[in-house]
Amino acid sequence: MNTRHLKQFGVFALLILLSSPRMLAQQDAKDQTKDQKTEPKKEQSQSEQMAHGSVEFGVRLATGDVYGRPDLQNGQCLGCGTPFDPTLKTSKFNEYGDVRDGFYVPRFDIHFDNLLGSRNYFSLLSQKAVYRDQSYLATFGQYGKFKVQFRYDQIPHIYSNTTRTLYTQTSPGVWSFPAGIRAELQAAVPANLPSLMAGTGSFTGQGVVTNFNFITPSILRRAGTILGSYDLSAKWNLAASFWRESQKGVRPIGLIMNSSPSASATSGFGMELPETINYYNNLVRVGTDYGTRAWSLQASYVGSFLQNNVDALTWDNPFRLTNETITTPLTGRMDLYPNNQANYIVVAGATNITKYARFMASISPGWLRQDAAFLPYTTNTAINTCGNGTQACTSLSVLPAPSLSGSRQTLAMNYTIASTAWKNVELKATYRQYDSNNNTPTRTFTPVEGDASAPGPQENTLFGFNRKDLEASGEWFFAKKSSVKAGYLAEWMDRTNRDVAHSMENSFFTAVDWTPIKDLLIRASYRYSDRNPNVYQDPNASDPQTGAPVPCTDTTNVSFTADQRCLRRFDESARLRNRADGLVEYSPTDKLTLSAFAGTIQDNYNRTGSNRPTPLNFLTGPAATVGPYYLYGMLKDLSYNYGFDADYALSPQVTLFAEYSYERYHKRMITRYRTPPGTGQDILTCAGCDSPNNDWESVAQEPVNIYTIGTDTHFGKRIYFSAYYSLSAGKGNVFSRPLGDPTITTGTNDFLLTGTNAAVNYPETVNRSHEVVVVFKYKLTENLYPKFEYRYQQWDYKDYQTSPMTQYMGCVSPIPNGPPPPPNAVPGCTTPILTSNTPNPVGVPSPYYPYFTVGDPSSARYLFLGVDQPSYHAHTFIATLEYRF
Amino acid sequence: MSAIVTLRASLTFVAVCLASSGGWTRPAKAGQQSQEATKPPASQNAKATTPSSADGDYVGSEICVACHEDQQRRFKNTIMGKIMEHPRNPLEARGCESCHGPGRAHVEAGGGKDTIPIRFGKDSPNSVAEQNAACEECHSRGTHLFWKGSPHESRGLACVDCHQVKQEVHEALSADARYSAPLTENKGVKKSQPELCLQCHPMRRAQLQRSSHMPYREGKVTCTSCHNPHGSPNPSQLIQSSINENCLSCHTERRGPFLWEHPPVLENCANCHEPHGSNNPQLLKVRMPRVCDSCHDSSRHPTQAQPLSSIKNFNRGCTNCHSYIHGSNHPSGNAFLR
Repeated sequence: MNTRHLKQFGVFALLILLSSPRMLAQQDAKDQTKDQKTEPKKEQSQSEQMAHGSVEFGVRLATGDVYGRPDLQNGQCLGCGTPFDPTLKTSKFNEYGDVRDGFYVPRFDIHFDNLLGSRNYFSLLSQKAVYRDQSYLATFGQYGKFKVQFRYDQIPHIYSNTTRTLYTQTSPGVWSFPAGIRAELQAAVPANLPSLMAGTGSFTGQGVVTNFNFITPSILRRAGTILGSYDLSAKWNLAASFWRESQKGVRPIGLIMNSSPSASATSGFGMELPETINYYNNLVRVGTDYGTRAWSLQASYVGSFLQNNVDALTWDNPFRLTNETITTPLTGRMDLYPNNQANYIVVAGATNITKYARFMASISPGWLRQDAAFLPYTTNTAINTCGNGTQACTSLSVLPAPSLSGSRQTLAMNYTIASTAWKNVELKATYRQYDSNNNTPTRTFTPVEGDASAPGPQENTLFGFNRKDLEASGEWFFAKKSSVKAGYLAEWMDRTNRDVAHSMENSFFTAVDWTPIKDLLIRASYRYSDRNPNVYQDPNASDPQTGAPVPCTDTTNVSFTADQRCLRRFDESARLRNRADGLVEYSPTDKLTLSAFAGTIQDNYNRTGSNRPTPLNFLTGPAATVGPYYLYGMLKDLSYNYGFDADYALSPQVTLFAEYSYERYHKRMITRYRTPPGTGQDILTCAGCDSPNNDWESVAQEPVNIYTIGTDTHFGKRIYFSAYYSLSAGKGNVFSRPLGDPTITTGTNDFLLTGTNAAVNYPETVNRSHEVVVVFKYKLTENLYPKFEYRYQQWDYKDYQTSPMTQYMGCVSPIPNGPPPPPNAVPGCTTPILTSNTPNPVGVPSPYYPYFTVGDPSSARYLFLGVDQPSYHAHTFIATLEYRF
Repeated sequence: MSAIVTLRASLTFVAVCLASSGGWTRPAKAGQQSQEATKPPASQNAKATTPSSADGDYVGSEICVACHEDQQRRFKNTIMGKIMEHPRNPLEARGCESCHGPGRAHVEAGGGKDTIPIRFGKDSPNSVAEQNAACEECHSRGTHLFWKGSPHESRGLACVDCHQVKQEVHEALSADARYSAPLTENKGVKKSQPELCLQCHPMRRAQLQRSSHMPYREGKVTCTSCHNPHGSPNPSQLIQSSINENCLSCHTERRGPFLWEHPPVLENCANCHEPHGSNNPQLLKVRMPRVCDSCHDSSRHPTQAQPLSSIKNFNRGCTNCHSYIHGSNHPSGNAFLR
């Protein structure tokens, strides 16, 4: 008997045990029966029938297919050697679940009052017992007096089922790559690498990828909570809880062994690894609250402690085995998230300060600490530029401190006064502050980026902020369920070591709730916000020679600044926000309910003020390719939505419902293609290094339509039937285009957005999720409810970022119209690999993803995991019996 | 601003307010239908909204049950009913009248809805504030501390719009077909979450259908995992003091403090992520590299539009290399590569 069968047997035994409480409830059941006999016309409430709980158990079967990756289908696994068929059970279908075939206990709910004649009760609830997504809640207590509760919950998370790797974990956090293959790859002529990896050309049948093993990166969260609560009186409660969560598993992480994977033709190694996850989260909460109608006070302590049992990730460089140099490390090492702790005190209270006014306040200081030991700068023994500039970077002694002594203090405060001084009028004023101070020491480090590049000393920067809000609003209740509200909100934001030291946002808002007739509700709200920084100065937009800031308005400084001058970060920059929402609900009859809603948020960053007072456009007048813009970065962030719901009761037994919603997101940004000038050059003497003629625009758009239609039907008092269909259909587009004059091919304004620098559209992403659900439930007896449930789920997913992924590649190119390659194919992937043709002609589509070329640009060496979540469709059949006792 | 100075000033202010309120020495009398901190009554049936009544106007639950046996049978199985079986104070001892107000007039009139001082639900003649005031007699502490002035209170929501008092509500049959919800002892709400909340927040229903989502549809987190619908002093009725504190209560590994920090991460997770669901990977508001391009136009990277061929675009985009973008504690993690 394997473990699974043992678990199932255990569950069955548990059910037998659970059925025994019926004996305890026998007397009650007899009483109920007697009641029914004496009052046959009186309908028994459902709550009575379930006075002691229920158990639902049965069988489940899921079947279906994963598709959209023809390369990975059984028998068609080109270049991967081992036939592999991505399974449904590890697909997106089961991302956070554990749908398996076999015995199934969706839920049980047991409740006993007056245990052994006492006033105590006990309840036990569960969902999906025994499976990886199981949860339980057990409570013992006395109503209004005390409660001891234990909760256990598991959340699985599967990241991909197309993942392959040759790395194996030899000890926690240490990932090794076979030495023989490392030697083979190191010895290979660079030009042969693509074929060697793929097993094509002269290496047919001996490709490295052939040996890769499939893994399923996933983590499992297991959390247990114990809570104790005691009511000293009806007004006074003491409570304490402890939550401990374990997170274990692996998830994909990308790593490089250089400052850039394409830094040179001979180095710049990169690899994707399974990141070892082994955390424990601990949360302690102790508190008390006392409250009367006039005043209340509560105080608590919250302590949160993260314990990471694997503090580092170490791996082999698959492309090098010997002869370590500065740019070709043999291994890499990553610091995983360090242990940390946060301690908060929360004090809150509310009191009536006059007959018509109530004051509420909360104050919560927090102390965040992190002091995990540092790792050395690198494992690369060839680098000796750390510490004073001549010391070995593998030594801990060259670090300025053994650990960070990280310290951050937060303070959250809120004060609110709400008053009803006048009839039907409520006034409210709120002051809220959140302060985040970084008290970590500042030190100078000599980082080694990617274990292969040592750019020089760098000091850690301490970021902090303080946000203050003052809000005042008034609301007039002019009729029942009808009110008008208006208010003002001021927000001050102070930041440390960011581009904007101080900004202020003024907001005006209004809302109307109107019930003109009993069955009609109209709601509308509008908010206008205007955020303005005092000064916007990016510290990286400074003269490299003098260090002096170069403001956006400066047109005389010809230095090439590290950050584009006039670049604005959207979370700090000037912003005009308009937000509106509306909702109408109408129930003309008891049978029909209609509702419609709409909303929009429109953020406009394209303003003058702290940006450039004059347009930055290179082309103006009739030649202009775009409207005036006054900054680089995000210009617009818009969202729209609308929809409706309808519920119609054909009869008391049959209800139909339909829902539709539409959303559209639109984000627009403008930036510039820039390249540092050569030695002795500036932006006026270098051809197109920093010219507005190389500005480009990108717009991301996402429309999403969601449809749902269904019915809830009762046939008599015994049969229940429910069915619905829903479709969520989303698309995503990223459009990009140059804004300059392509005819200028020399001089300062040389147009460079051509070839691999071209601003082009990305392929459309598609995301469609269908679901059909049918539930049939029958009341066999007062205690037995057989149920049959069928679910059909289909998810169609096409994403240019993940769908073409394979284990070895350096580039992707779409071939919009398929072979032969059209002339407008996006350039950049000029050395296709993993094609079915030999030799590999340019533009031959990848068998891994039709209409795409997967290639190696010969400047990057990157081994991926091939993480993807392919489309699927699944049929799930569930037959259960619910037993109520 | 020094946090300590601010804290001291705040504590002083709170102490002064509390001391001046008289609240410390003037607890409400149990069982009194106080109008304090409630909206003034709308022009309703004055008889039905008498704010306070003499004890003699209370008749006791035994009298009520004589006619309302059915309601009593259902009510006694609820948590409130079980508490009131063993009352802890005079208010709870009043049973039916603790919520509905004194019943003498109702009894003397031989019944009739119009003579019930406080009635609940859509057909109630009482204003929402009056209905809620009855609940607040007991439920004014704990998670209800900030109900007054909260968005739901000011939008005229009645407690009974969401809560069912007279009987326990068991999982509706149709709920089997829609979303799951975390296990809860609270069976006093009309529908399970998230259906309850989605009735008025339809756009959230749409967002939950996205491919990139938290385990919401799967019933592992729900609205009240992050929000307190009864009001909180925090933005968006969040349970924690800020958006980040809310997110970091589960994602504690990203809390830091780190040696190398990414300031927009530090300030607001929602700068890049849409917690209610997205069609972009990792709940991103816009996919990579554009989410990074929005702020980064630096000399260390080529700043072209990143054709599809670039490793900065496919797979996980920028985080193919800058994998610890939420903050790094590695001495060489200044660019979040380690």
